[in-house]
Amino acid sequence: MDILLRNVTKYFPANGVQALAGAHFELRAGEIHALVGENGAGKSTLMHILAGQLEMTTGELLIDGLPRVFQSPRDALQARIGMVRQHPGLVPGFTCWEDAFLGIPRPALLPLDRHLARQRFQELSDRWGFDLDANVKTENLTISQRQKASIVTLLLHQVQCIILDEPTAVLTPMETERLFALLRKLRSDGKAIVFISHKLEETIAVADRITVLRQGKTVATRRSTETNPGELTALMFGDAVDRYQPEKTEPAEPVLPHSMMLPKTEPSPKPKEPLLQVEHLFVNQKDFAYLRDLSFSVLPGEVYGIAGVRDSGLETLELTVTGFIKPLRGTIRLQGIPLQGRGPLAFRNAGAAYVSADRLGKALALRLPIIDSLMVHAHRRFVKNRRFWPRFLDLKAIRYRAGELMSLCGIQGRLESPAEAFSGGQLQRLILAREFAEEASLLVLAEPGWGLDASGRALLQERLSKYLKDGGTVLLFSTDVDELLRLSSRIMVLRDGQNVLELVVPEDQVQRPLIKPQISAAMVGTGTAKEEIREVLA
Amino acid sequence: MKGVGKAQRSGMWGALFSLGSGMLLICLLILFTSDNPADTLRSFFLGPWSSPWFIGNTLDMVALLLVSALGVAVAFRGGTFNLGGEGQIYIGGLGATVVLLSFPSLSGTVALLLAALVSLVLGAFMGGLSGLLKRFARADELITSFLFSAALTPVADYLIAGPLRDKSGSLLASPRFATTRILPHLLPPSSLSVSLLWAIALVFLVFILMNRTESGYRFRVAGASPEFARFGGFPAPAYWGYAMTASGALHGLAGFFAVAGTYGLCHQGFSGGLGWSGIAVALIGRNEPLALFPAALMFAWLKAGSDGALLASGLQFETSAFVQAIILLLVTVRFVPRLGRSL
Repeated sequence: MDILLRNVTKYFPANGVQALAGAHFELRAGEIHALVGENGAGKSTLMHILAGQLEMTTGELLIDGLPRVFQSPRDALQARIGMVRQHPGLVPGFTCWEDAFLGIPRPALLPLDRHLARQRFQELSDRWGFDLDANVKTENLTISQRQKASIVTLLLHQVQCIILDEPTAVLTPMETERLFALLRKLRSDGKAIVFISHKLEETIAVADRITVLRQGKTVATRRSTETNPGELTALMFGDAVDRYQPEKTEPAEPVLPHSMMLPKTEPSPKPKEPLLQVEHLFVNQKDFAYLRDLSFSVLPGEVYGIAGVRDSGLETLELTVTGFIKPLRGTIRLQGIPLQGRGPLAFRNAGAAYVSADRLGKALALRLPIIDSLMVHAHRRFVKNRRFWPRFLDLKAIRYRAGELMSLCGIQGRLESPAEAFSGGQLQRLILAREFAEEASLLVLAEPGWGLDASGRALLQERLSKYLKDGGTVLLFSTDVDELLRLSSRIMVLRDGQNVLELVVPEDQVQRPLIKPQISAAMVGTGTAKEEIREVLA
Repeated sequence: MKGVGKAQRSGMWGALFSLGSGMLLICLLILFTSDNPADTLRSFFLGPWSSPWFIGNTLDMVALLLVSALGVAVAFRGGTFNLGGEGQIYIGGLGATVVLLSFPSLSGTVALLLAALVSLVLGAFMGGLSGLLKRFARADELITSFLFSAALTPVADYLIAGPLRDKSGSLLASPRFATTRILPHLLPPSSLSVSLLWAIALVFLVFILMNRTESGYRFRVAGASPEFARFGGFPAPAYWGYAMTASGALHGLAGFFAVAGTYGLCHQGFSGGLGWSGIAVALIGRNEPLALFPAALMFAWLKAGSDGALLASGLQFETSAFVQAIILLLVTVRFVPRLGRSL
């Protein structure tokens, strides 16, 4: 099946956004075609049009040379085109196979043969090596399993074209490799696969061809064998490349936190009091992975990275350190102040700022005006009267500050617009800017790369190195080993709620990737690591 | 940046739109059911403003609706839903009645202030109890506030029909309060009293507290996004408690205004659906304090109009109830903000 999208435009009259302005896209059977572009370039919009979830304003869609119009995802499915969302929505309480069979067309009034249906699901899953149990309840699946279950659902619909919307952004490296192995298998079966991504290197590794979108227009389509991350970055950002330092030049840039780690005036580097000290921490919280006897300390001025796969206790530790979860036992001290179980405010008052991994739920009030989200910390400082109740806010100063944050992030918009009117990438930048503005001695940063495009990441890097230069300290949580290696000065690996490896990152950027296998192996455990590697090789 | 109007403005649009379409339906209804559509229409729309007496009564209804709708809006903006307004008004009014009928040594003004305070505290207590149950026992405040209200209503009924009843009269009502113990009336002989001025002041007070102060900011955030409130260091459950307490207090005050202003006595069932109408008005105004002004005005107009038309030109009772149902239906459908955006 060959698909051609020609001259597609999409205008959203509700908010006046021209999401697409002449995009082309060509997809052939038996290829993996990656779609890359900045946040807001129109990648998702274009693919939602192909999957029938949006209608194009103008343009045409040709399937095997014949013009088609999709008015709903059902039309697209009938044309054998299906999409997998980043966070697939499955029906809670249903088993995998029940969920998969929900939309499968079948004769009316005839009861579903449950046994046969389950068997079909299991067979399909086994044939492709999805490693899913048809009888598992959907709410017990991890995100990568959910994505796989959605792919099986599409295969049950006998699709020939599978669209994946940024699948790897929420996956660990091992899960990503498995997904790629799967995609290659599907390709060899003649399926056409579209793959939306931010990560250029993995894109080049897995895709056959790459199409670059910029500001709603198709800039170029390249064979992955004939391009490189540098060229793609240039295509994605156009002129913007000059303004933001693209990622590829980073190793050459002296943005090393180490150089700022120990000021030369320091007489001896050894007797340094730890800024954050966690000792013998036990956490046993419902719905969270547990922590067992965890101890570590963060020195002033360093970037302490904590690595771990999903369910290793990474999220638990993030929430415990920041005061959201009360530990069972153990102590957490920031600048000597005990914080365990005393809540997020005590944590902030001790001099810390926090960018959570869950940004939209926790770090923002989506339905309130954006200014309400921006002033959440600042509102304590801009109070006109402290003596009597009610304390009036100095709204003029707050509005000025919020406006500053907006322009700092290069975002134009009214402070009264609800947060949900901004794009995900814009909100990310605003949250980062808000937390950096706190002048905290410790910044807890969880998954900083999530949802940021290359220019956003460059901005983050710039802010981060400035923050470190001013004497700040960072506690970094990430599932992305490359990101940790790029940013951290020390790394701890968390597995099953325990500290299994702690090492100093070499200062030399060239040597850094050398310790990656060691970290990855520690993250998944040495026993399983071998299996995983074998699987990747096979 | 994406052309989304201010919350306040969308509230205004919501009010105008749902009431506009409600009126259109009323006109159609009257055209088809009334024997003399012209007369009925006139008494419906102009009746409430036809004489000082009617104007006074309509404005008095505006005052009561404003206070109770404000109570609903406060609860809602703080992340809760107070469904017990009816009972809180009733009990608040009853408390005020007890005060106004006793303590003969107190001067009128002091007695009125004390009565207002008692009704406020009683209402706040009823609402606050639901808030505490939500906070500490995770009981749904929607259910508990309604049940408290439903359970206490018969008790109040008994007290009015029994111990408090004026034995000399034939009504199920308390004796009339002393003239110094009734709120000053503005347009005698209508029921309009200074409660209207108080109601307007209360709306502005709530608006300012909510939008200009630290506590108000936290209150709004806790109501709209509890997780984010926790992130910011002000746990939301405490604010839910405040929301329900403030909501109950405002309802209690509405009860005080009804007995001490409108009626000058306390009769059985004096709240007469005021709590429910308050919910409707709050919904029309999208829980925006300032948008409650047009919402309450229009609602009172329609209510007075349908009552008037009922008497003047034989509009059937079902029709006037139907009209109110239509408006409620219209305001609960949330298609209005989208319309506001495309304008």
